[in-house]
Amino acid sequence: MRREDTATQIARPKARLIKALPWFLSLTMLAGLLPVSPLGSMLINEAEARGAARGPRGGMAVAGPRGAAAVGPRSGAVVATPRNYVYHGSASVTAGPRRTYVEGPRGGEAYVGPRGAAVKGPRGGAAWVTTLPVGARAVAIAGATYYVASGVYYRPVYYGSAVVYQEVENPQEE
Amino acid sequence: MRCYAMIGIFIFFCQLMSPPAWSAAAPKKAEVPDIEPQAGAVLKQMCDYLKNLQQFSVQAEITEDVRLTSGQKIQYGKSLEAAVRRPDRFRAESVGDADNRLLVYDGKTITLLDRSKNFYTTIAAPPEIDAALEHGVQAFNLRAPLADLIYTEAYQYLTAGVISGFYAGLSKVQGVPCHHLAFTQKDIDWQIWVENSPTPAPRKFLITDKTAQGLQFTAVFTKWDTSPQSADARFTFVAPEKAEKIDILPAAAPASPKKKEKKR
Repeated sequence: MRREDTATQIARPKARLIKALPWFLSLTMLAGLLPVSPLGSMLINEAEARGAARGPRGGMAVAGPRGAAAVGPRSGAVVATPRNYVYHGSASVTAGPRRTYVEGPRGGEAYVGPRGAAVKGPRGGAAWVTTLPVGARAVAIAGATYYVASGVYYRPVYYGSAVVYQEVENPQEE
Repeated sequence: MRCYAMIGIFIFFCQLMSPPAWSAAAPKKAEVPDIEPQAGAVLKQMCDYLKNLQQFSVQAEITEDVRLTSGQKIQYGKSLEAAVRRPDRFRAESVGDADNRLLVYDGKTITLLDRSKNFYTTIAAPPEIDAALEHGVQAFNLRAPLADLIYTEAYQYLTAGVISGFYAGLSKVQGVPCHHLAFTQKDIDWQIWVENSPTPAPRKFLITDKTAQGLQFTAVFTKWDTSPQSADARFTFVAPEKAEKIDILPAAAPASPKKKEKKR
């Protein structure tokens, strides 16, 4: 085999590859199959996320180029984005080529996209009540006030302009 | 073949440029509200008057309907005292049947205190009243029924989402002659009584929630002071003894800043 023949054989597939590359990228992007943007910083995935971390108890946090999201091991979920927008529920959230999808060990989910972040705690977020059940008593645990009624623990938090009581797992077992 | 490659590259970049499906929906172009000229002029006059007040304090008596789980409708009341010093100080304290609350904005943070329960929370806020209130409402779902009157661009906030408005005539609120204006939005109707004088301050504000079987929020402004002596200390939060700092939950969903349908 002559030397130029070998070069031709190598060059032809390379040329085909170059021509096919935009199609390949477009189709994979359309199908939502491409996990990593060719532009690098525009998306991340669980494995390759810069700043992604999994805690010893199953909590998970991830930081994207324009926001960050975290899912706690139990039911807490927080998110910080440039505008502090938070999304609950999965109806408007789908995994796609420009997003990061993180699933916690107990059903929590977090997404980070180029324009913000979204989180969903297990069962759609922790439950809270505006008034404590009758008979609830206050207990101080690690310097913080909790309330317990019928074995269920509540921690006071602000929701909007009012104090509500968020159901939590027994903080003493953590 | 080159043509196909170019199309492929175009589609690829279109994908990169398009917003994700779950991102906040782009605000639709606002429709021009059908506001009667006289109503619009009085409202604008009031907003300009408030905008040009560098500092003021106001007292208001507020009543708010609440529907009990039994279906019965009852009314709670509270007294509100608010102080504004533009551009970066704000304080509001309410004492009433259902709550005893304080909000202090010091140019850097917004602090909420529930005096009855002795819990407070603090959130970082932009260094200007409008942006700070907007941040509190959008990011933390803070309820600020009267915030629309405080914003520098109050007219835009008040009329955002308005479908129509008309001038209902002259009226008196606590003996003060006022222009009575009425507006309707998709979910609420609201009315405002503006003092008929060279100092066109709002004297009464009423919101009817059409989605909640006509529950109403009413504020009657009893005392305006446009030259209060407000020291910095008034806008500085000092935690009461044994008050406990707690977390605040972020808002459940975003809303476009100037597309608020509901004002409460």
